[in-house]
Amino acid sequence: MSKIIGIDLGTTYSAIASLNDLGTPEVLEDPIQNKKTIPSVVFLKGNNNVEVGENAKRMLSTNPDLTVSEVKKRMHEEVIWSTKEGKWIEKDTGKTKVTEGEFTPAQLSSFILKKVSSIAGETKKVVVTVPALFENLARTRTEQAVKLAGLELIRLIDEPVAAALHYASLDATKGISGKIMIFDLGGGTFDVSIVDMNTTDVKDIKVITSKGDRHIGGTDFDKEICKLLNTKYKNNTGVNLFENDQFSKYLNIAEQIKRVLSVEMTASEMIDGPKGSQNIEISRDEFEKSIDKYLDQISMLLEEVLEVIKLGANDISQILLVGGSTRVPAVVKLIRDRMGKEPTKGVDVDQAVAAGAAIYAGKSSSAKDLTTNQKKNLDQIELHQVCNHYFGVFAITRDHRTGREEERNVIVIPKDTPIPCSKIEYLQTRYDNQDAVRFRITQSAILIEKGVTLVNILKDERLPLPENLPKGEPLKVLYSYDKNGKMHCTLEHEASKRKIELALEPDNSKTLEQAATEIKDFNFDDFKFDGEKEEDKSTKEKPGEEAKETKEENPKE
Amino acid sequence: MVPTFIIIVLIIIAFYYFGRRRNSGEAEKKLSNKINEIKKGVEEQEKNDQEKMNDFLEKNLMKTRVIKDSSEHEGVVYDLIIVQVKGYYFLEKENTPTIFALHILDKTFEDEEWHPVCSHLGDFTNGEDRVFEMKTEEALLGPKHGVEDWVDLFVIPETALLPPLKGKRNLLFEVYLCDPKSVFKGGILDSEPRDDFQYNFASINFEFEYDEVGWMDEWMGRDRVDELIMQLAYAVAAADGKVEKSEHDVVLKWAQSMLIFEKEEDYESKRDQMLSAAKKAHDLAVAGDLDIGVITSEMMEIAPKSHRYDAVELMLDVCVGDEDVKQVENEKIEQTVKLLDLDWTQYKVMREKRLADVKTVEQSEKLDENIFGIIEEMTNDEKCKELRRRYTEFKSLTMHDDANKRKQALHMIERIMVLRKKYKC
Repeated sequence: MSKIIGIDLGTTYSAIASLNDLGTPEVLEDPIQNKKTIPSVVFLKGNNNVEVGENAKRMLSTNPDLTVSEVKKRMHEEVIWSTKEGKWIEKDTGKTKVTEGEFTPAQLSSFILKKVSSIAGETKKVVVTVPALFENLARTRTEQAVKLAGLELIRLIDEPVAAALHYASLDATKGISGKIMIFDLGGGTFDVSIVDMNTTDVKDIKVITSKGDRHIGGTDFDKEICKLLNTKYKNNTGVNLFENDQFSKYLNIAEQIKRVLSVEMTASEMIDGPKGSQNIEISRDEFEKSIDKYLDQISMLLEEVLEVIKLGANDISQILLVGGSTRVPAVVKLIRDRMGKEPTKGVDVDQAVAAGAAIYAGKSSSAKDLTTNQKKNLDQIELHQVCNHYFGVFAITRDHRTGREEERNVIVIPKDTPIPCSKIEYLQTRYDNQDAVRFRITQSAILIEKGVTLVNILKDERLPLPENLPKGEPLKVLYSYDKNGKMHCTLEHEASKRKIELALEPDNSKTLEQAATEIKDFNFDDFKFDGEKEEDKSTKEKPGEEAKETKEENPKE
Repeated sequence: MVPTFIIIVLIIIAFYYFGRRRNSGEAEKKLSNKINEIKKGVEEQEKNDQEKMNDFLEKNLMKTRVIKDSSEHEGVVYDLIIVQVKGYYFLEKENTPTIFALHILDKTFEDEEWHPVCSHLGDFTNGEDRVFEMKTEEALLGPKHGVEDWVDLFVIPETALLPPLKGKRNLLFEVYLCDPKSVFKGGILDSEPRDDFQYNFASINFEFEYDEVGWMDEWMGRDRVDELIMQLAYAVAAADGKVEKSEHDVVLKWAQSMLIFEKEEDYESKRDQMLSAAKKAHDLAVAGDLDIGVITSEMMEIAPKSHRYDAVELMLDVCVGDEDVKQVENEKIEQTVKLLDLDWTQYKVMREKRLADVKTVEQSEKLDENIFGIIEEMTNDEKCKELRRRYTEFKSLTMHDDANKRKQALHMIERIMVLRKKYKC
């Protein structure tokens, strides 16, 4: 096994892979559950005990208040999970004291990472995947999650890119040359990327562009099924199955129904509700109508991505499916209708991303850590990524047409620029003894130059300047994207050699140190692996309260 | 006998004497003639040289001219005025620090009182007032410097010019080659002594058609424009039949913000004037006596474009002031935008900024179509494409830090999906 592993940290399921001695990626199986994908669900049992995975997922039905799912969807939000309230709450940015029983998305993600990485044994160096549309904040929090899990992050890579890497590494794809569409519809997010792939000689992968939506995924389909269940239950009994969108209890069943409908025309389940059990049947047709709006949004994103690269559907040579939700027949039909061709089959949609991450992990390893075969396979792969957001900065300008002074979002690095990349700009002090410069750094998925309140301001800060600077003194500003797709901004006064980096980090009510301290004593019941040491076992306390486990069968993969 | 001999000698002497005298006069005359001839020749020579000199100076002294051109930038065509220069500068010393400065005067006035052309764009003023001024970077020039053929010296977008009044204007473009320390006041070189600062000068007349309101019009109509803006704002507030307190507060807040530009001695009178105008506008709105057509018609005569945008911006602020956007309010604003001849794209940007924060948008297909830019004349495909564009914009808002904006964006996306279903996209 290579010393760096690849982790697909998914919204609903996560997976881990590494390169075998032959240089091909292998997704590792959870030895306890005997499964290659681990549910990204955290059960907060109490008394510093945590469970992650299948058991935690079962708790969604019985203990939804203590069970957290879809953490990844919250990585960009200013929220915390409150065990007291049993839900996500808006973070109070003015808070200085941390309340017990509150967890940030980064902390919860670290639990998932810790569980997943334990399957690989002692290996601590990781490559982790993130959605292409993850912006700076979410990427930074993912980095934090990796650190909190006690792991060393080698690199973040985009999920579609990881999938493309895996695809390119297959013998079946040798000799391919052209534009490939990576259609990644997972549990929580949708990404569509276009890559230029040439596998005739060296396997060269150039990312051209990506688009995505973090409000479209398998869980959204599950929620529509929950609404259908609710309607049908009410029709039968006169009473709602649940009130006020409190449907998390039924998500597992909804997922089960969705999977059945991928292969059958109807699916039925016995649903327990306030007025007893009801056998409810849902047809594929009903399901597809309920997700119509999501399918339309996916369709629009496909149109958009082709428009951006000024190509038509005919110019795309292959469409690669990634993510479990691509099993939904309506999704495949949509692709067929819009793109005029069948998606490529033969790649495991659940494991492609983890496998690709493992390949990248191999590429990031030093030569001495690789076998000959591993080196040989990896040497043939070249990957070129791009930044997925516009990097902007606010400036005051005059519009010639309207004669009005207005704030404008000036783009310093456009989207789809190959990374790492940087741009230097020069400013001047506006008056003698100017003591600071205000920077408002923005990041946006689409080009927004006017209407600046619509743009996300990543950071609004005044950077101090050296003393006694005259008017017109030049200042150098370096804007950059690093190899992880993260943004940086540095102000330099060349004459005094003084440099200040603008910290484009999220404002947290907890510092990383606080967050790490809070969870360092947490016990992970499931975390058993070969060679577990005696002293480790002895420090684990028995949980004070056991949650009841349901006797539901595990859904099929 | 002797006397005959003496007489002959005398005659000979006389002949000799008088003959000599006559010869000497001629010589003098000749000399004089000669001298005159030479003088004349020299004078003519000088005259020729002077003409040549004049001719030389005429051809080579610094001159300026103005030409019109256009340029496209980010999809927008800008009409340009280019000030060119050619000729030699005839500076006395080598390495003289110099700049070119451009000022424009408006000579159209009958009383021959020339007024400076101004600019509302800071890049085209001296930064202290609105008088138009452009300067080049400093350069070190000398006696032999100049340009043989016309070169572009200043490029000015027409929209940067703000003459005193509307209509056909006779402008005088003045190009100075001067010391970088030269000071200009009201478009005229103010530095003393002039010779030390001004090395060269050229000017040219240029006719310019100005369709907008000039700075004099603006100055004279300032108070009335403020009143009209408030009338438009109250017209929107009253569109749904009732002026809410929150809408009223928005107008008063705007009125307050206008006072910051006032000098201390004028503050109170301006404040009273604004309050009185607000009350009058409110009463007219409640009585249903505000006609958008009449108000906008007057605004087109006296309000510069930037103030017309201010009016629409205030109307939008009032519209969302009660956190509820209604179809009737939206209609009034759109009608105003058209009547004030404003850029639709700019208006959409202003509107979206506010829609992102509003709590409720009236459930109305018509309103949705307006907000999302769908017009009847569009084909189905065009409607679908426009809705897709709007979807992309609102989708990006779903990733905003502000939870309210995210929520509103998701809500707007749902409404877009409803319309897409209607058009079977």
